Amino acid sequence: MSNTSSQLNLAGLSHRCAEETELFFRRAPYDPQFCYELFRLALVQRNQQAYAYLYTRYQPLVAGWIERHPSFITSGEETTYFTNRAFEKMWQAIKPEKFARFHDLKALLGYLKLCTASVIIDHARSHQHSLVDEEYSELTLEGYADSRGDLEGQTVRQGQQAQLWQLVSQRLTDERERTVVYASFVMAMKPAEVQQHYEHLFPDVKTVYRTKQAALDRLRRDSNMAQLYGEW
Amino acid sequence: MNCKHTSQFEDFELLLALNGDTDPITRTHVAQCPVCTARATHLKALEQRATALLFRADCPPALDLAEYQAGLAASDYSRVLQSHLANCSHCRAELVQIEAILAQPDPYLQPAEPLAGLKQQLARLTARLTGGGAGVPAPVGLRGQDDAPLIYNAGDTDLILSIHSDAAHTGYRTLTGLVLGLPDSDTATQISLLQQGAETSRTTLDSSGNFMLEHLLPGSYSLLLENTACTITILDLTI
Ligand SMILES: [Zn+2]
Ligand SMILES: [Zn+2]
Repeated sequence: MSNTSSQLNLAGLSHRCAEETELFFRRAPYDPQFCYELFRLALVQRNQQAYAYLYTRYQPLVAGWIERHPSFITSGEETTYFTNRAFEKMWQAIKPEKFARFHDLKALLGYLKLCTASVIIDHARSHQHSLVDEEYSELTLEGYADSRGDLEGQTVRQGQQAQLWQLVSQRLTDERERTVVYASFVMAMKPAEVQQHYEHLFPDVKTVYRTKQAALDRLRRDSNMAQLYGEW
Repeated sequence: MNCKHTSQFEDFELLLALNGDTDPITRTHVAQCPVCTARATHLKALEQRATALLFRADCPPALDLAEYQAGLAASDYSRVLQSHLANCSHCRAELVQIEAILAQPDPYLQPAEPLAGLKQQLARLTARLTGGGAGVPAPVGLRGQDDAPLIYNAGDTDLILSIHSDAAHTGYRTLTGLVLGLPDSDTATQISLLQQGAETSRTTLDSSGNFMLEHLLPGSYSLLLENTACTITILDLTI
């Protein structure tokens, strides 16, 4: 007798999902309804046990994506670090109201792959940020979240930076000043690169230096900016 | 050394000197004068602090880039991301990384299909060279020899390209192509050839999947196939 997904309890569902996954991995015809239902319970009902079953079931699939990625070897992290981040990301990204967009198991697994790709990028970004931070070694960003490690910390930093950039760009109304601050600090471009990239605004490197200092001067004189972020 | 020229050097000039971007006399002075060195170093530290505070402040989250790459971003947001990508080399590099992961062969996911269950679907694929040319596929910039077709693959779609010299017009080349397994679309497929982002040539795919672009100058191009179901790009095509 074959049960449908709605008639089974969680353990039964997990068992049937495991059996069908075996077929799926052997590329034999399989029934995706049991695994899909586990995803629904995990993501719509936020059922932790269903989430744990799914983790066990698809952890090898995610690990394979990670280990085949060229950046993995040099990342200095274990596979499980990335695997955990990928599942966390999917858990956070697919809120109950968003689940309806995923019509089948393949769509859900495809999205899990997107989450996996993005955690590898997050890790590389974190490394990029730490290189920038190191250059300003005695950096003391009070109240600033440490971006290394957890996903949450990174999200907080991203949010704070976006807010700061908004404040800065609101105060720079001159196109050249706004451009030089964007290129130099947001994009971390060297003065010569800025000049080459925005030749129409900066005829020479000296103008890049002069405009940048004028812009920083403007931010320095803004009492609100000084209060929030100290000296510019 | 006693420095008596606080009004002589402006901040930007001190930084120019510190970075070695100015004349030797100013450079030497700034290097030897403790007052100027201290001011220049302080300014440099402030710049580094600004970079630490603002670096990549307006970059979208990585998952947004991944959703965009998979054709899942809402159309308004896609446009926002496109304009960001045009300015941000960091995100462009990440998009290539994301693509490398998404393009990994997945026997159980069948790359072209995993997201088929999603509503806003428009697959964005980058075709990869899988065969042809001089026998061993070169990853980038392989020139198609006359009569030695280049075979690219993107999802379920295969593209077979040939590049020939134009017998009637010395120095010019002709690109012919056959496209197989393209997803169904409501509209005709447009083929465009781009050089540094600007379109240099354009045609429409005929009903049997063939196209031809003539009078092409040798050089490095990207080829774009576009219809309502998908966008396929060959990033580095040497003609
Ligand atoms: Zn001096
Ligand atoms: Zn960016």
